[in-house]
Amino acid sequence: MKEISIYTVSQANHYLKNLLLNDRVLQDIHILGEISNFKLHKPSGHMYFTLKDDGSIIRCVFFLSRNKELKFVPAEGMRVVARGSISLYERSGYYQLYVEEIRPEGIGDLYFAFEQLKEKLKMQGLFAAEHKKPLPGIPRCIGLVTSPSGAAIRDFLTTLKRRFPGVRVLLYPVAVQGKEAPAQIIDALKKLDKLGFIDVVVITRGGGSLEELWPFNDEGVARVIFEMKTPVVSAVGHETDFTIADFVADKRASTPTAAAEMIAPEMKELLRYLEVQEHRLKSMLKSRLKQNKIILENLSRSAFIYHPREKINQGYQQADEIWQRLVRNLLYNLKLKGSQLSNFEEKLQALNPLKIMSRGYAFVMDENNEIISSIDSLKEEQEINVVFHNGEAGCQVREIRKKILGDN
Amino acid sequence: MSRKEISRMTFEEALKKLATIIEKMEREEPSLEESLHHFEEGMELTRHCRKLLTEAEHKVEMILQNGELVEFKEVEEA
Repeated sequence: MKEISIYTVSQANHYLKNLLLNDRVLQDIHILGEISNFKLHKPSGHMYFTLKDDGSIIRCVFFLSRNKELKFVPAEGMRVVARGSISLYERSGYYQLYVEEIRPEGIGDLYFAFEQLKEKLKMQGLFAAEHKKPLPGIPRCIGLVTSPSGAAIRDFLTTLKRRFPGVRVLLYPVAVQGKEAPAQIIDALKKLDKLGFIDVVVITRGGGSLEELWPFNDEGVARVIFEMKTPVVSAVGHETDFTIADFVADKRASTPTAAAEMIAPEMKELLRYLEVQEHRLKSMLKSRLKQNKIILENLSRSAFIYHPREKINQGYQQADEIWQRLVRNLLYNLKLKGSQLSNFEEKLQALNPLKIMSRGYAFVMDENNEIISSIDSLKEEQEINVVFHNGEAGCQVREIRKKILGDN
Repeated sequence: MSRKEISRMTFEEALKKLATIIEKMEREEPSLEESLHHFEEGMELTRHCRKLLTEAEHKVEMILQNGELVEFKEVEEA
């Protein structure tokens, strides 16, 4: 009786795995197919997907250790050539392709060209930081190079309007994919740059395949961006898409919305800031006026009582000037309203010595211009000067009547 | 700095100047004359800044092939 060999499941799978591992074809195989069921396992960084064609599928696993060098992000429906080895996953009993590398099918050449051009322009200094022009703080006119339809322009304009409504946008409509696109983009950039009043140029389009983004990897486009006098912001594709235009532009924005945010300040914030500064100015001047009111008070008092005529006159003039400036500035600059202003003004008016004298007061000086403040200093027949707010009179004392005011 | 000079300043220049003036007023305790001068200059700068922010209207124009400018109407997506 022939003996039957019985294997455990594990043994069977293990046997199979060995068969696969010993097959030279399966250990280094290129497989063309379309990516589906793509999953990036977040904690580990491993990628799982299936490659399929019209008739069949094959499971694939792309470990982090291999996929971290990947220059593009695999996406659903992307046609790729995957290279790797086929082996059996014993635990689940299915075979899969252990991917070593994948490249997009058909545009593999483009991708290679991209890397090559990038390297070349980098060597020539087109991406160098010292050539990057700063963006304007407040753009007055933005040149926009994009397709007039689609999400990119809508996202950009919506965000722009929300943040900073006071800006003019000049749209230069271009094809953003296809053979015509590079020439149109070059033309648009050159013309906008020549206008001379554009503060910043934004070149943008929404996401797409590497092929669709290709016009933005055009060497001609890159060189025009480099030579432009106007700063350029490039926002092409999604956050993960990088194009040559992004590298050579003065700033790269990850999306059209991000470009608008980068360019336009938040108007509300700026207006609020100005308000605060204005308030600081006003309150500082107010406190300075308060200090000077005290100085003015002292000045007018001392000038009136103790100083010889020249100094008094000077004092008047100075006091008058300062007073006038105070009132003028209060009236016309501060624009303080109502009682606050008139109060202040009244107080200042009351302090003006000229004002006091114009109400009918005068003072008396002797021949040496000393102020005579008492009747006791006067002699009959003495020559005196009576000083009014608008002039003085030479007088002679005819009669001295002491305390006449008090007697009444 | 005259009104005319200020009117030619960019927003950034004016903002920077404004900050300098305020710092001066706060730090140096200038005379009344200087204070008034600073104040007038500062107020002119804020006026200028505000004008720069608000004077332009939001306008989107499209450049046609012949160089003509037409108002751009955004296409509403259904």
